[in-house]
Amino acid sequence: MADVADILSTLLERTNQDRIRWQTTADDETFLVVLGNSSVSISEGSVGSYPKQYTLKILNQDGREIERMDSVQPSPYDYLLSDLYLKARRVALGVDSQLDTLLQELESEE
Amino acid sequence: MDWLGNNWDSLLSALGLAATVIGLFIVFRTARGAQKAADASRVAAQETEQAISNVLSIVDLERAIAMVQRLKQLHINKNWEVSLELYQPLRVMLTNINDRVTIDTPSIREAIPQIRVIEESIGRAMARNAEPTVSPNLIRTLNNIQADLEQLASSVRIPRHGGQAHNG
Repeated sequence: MADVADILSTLLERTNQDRIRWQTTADDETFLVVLGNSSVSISEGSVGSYPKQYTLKILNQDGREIERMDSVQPSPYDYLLSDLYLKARRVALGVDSQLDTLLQELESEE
Repeated sequence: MDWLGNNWDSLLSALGLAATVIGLFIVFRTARGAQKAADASRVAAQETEQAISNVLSIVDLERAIAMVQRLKQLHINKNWEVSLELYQPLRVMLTNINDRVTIDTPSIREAIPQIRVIEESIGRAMARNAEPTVSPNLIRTLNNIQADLEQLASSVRIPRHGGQAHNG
């Protein structure tokens, strides 16, 4: 039976393969992906907290939280959570394409 | 006459066979007509059911659009507590529409968790006794949801006089 750790590792793998369309949300520190009737959000904890805390939530079709994983307690998944957050952010904000465009602009200035 | 007398049995058999074939033909034809009538009734019933469902969906969509509009106004007026009370019914309404409509509605499926994120964000700020912020991202998200719902409402059509329900 799958658990939230399986979801986390598979999401990270699919995100690395550019197969997950992360979206921005109204909250600047939360990114979201809709998969069928479910969705997954990854959030960074409140600004200023150290070490940074990350939360993965799995929502059902009503938008109700059915599972979650926090990096509040030290666990082997902390690194995976922070890695997923940073990669989800890059996808949702289109960081890679923006950097490419910026680099092209800089090179054309030469 | 002699021939008729000698072959009377064969002639009767042939006539019987012809009558059987004709009878079977009539039976098959009648059965096919009845099947067509049953199919037509089933299609008509499905169309009526779809029409009712579409009308209900349109009504709910219009209500959901009005709720999103109200939420935007509540946020601009910083009326956070009232806004929090509206988010859950909005999610429930969208879930019901999503269950009811026969077409794929990715815009609704995406709107539901987006609304949940807003709801949690406001709830968290209020739990800390902090003022939630009306970020451009918040209003932009609500505007996007509203635009998607309006587009969906305009794409759900009511079938006319036995015509097919046109969705999408």
